[in-house]
Amino acid sequence: MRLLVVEDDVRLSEVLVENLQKSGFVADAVHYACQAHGALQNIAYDAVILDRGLPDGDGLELLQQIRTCGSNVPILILTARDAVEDRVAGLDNGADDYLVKPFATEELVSRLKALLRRPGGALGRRLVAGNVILDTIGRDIQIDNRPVELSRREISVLEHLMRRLGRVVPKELLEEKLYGFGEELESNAVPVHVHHLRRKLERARATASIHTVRGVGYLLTEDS
Amino acid sequence: MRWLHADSLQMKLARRLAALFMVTTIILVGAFLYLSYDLAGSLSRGDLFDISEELAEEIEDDGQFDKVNELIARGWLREHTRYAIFDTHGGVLFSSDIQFSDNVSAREILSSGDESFRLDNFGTPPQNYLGVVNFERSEAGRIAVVVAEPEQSEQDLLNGIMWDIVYKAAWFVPVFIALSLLVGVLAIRNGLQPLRRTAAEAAAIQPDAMSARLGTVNLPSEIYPLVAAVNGALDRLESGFEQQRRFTANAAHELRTPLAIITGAIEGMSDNDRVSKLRQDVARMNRLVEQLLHVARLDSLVMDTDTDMDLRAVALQVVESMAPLAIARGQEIELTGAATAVTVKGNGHDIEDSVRNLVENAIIHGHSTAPIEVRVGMEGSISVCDRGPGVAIEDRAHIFDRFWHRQSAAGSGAGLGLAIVQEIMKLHGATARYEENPGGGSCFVLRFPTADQRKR
Repeated sequence: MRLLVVEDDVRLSEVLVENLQKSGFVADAVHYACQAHGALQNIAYDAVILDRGLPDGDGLELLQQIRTCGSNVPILILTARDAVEDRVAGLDNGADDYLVKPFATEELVSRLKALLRRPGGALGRRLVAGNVILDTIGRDIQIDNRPVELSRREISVLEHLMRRLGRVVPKELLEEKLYGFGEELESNAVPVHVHHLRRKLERARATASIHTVRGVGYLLTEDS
Repeated sequence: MRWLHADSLQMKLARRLAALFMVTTIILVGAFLYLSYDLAGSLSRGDLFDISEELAEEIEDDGQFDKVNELIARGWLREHTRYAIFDTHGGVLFSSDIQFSDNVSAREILSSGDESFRLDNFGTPPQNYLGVVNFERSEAGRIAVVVAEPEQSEQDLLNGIMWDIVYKAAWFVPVFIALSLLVGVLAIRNGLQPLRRTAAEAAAIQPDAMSARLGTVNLPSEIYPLVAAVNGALDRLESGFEQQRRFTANAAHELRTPLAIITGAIEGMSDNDRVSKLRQDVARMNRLVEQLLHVARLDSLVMDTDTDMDLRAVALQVVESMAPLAIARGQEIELTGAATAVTVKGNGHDIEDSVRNLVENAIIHGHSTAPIEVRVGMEGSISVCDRGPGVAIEDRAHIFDRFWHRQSAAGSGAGLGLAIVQEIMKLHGATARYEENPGGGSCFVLRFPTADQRKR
């Protein structure tokens, strides 16, 4: 996967590119907004990491221009400003996520992967967590290279958990996604599906496990 | 009462006022006594003149002394009054006694031309006499009427007047002084009222309300320069304070990019013991800079705490974002309590930061397999409870202080987290408290005022 890093601090972009490469990405760095324009026109990047403070303009302007051109490329904003207004401004202008400096590379990578795992994203078709692989088009699961039988709703729960790997998926969201408007919803429907799914993953010796955050939702992590 | 203190301006002014009153009163009374004395003399002389005129009048019509005798027989004259009537040649026409008329003749008082005279050591017992000479025309020709009275009676008159004054009027003097002093003190006190108001205003100035200034409305012109100077000093202090605040904020801000570089560079290194220690050091530094920025922001911004926000949504947000960290550390976290929205007035972002701080602490200090519980109370509270070792009783009073560290603890944070929480809560009119978790561990409880309490 190819990423574009737009960051004016040469040293920071160096370190970023190096770390992203270690995490399995291919990354190019540019230092000016005008260079970013050129790069985006020539190469189909899978995601953009954009710093707000650029020497030839605010990153937000660049962001708006990219979106005006009709590009849906996932964009993650880096900012040294953490005031709420700044964060909201970034998201309002079409950014998909933001990170406040300083940040851990691990956090950056997990945020990037979450963006890439969205439907239509570079990682959106074939989801991977540990030894669990879910093909979102064929709707089939492989654990440790062996196919596993799951119900339609269990696959749906797993898909949402895998798209947000390492982050909490609210129970309400799962309820919304699993059941249509007219469908009868029992209060323990989602917990029951999760319970079954968890048992099936354990039985198949999956290296990813589902954690319950009581009162909030569920979280899938890869076992270390 | 403080204003009765001996050093107070009021007492000083009152003392001076009292002294001034005393001196003025003494001078006035002295002058009054002197004038009275003088007046008494002229009064007694006038009195003698009246007598002589009266006598002359009685003779005037017929030149006989029958009417005079009648007058005297009626006791018209005082006992000691001596009188003598002379003709133009100095012959005695009529007198109270020969001794007196002889004496008057012997001293040639008539020819001296004086209207008044003194007779020292006259009569038995010898007394000093004060007398007057009155020349009148009458049927018997030009006559001289001489009347004298012992000086003693003049003194009596004076004493009489004096005692009259003392009895009837003098008691009024101390009362008058006391009343004037009271009025004076009250007037001073009233006049100093703006000064007390200014003092109260000055006492209310705090580091978090640096923009307040002392009022200069209705201030006495004597005090105005002082207050203006104090306000000037406050201006300079505030700008200095502001500069320092901005410096802290800017410094922390500028540190972010280099910190991001170091963080990234160390993460890129291959794993070994030294690198993992470096990582911890950098993580600690990141946390410190983050908290410094937060403190600077809290100090410099006027926070909008008047928006409706849902405590449950805030708690949910925090648990959601912190759960991966807790789970990565082998801990569980759960959200309990209210199932519906709990609305309070406040700044959602800052309350979220507070709760996140508490959860971070619980993850660091929790050391337990029991879940960290974030509980939302319907009455407007959020509690973060763990089953860790809890906080020692002697430390509980200090945990909310800035830069406080338990002596025994190997420092991992800046000691700012709970201080930030405390300050955010204060700005909301809310409280942050440590409570023992029943069954072991800590509970940090944030309590927000209800809508009713806020109105008060």
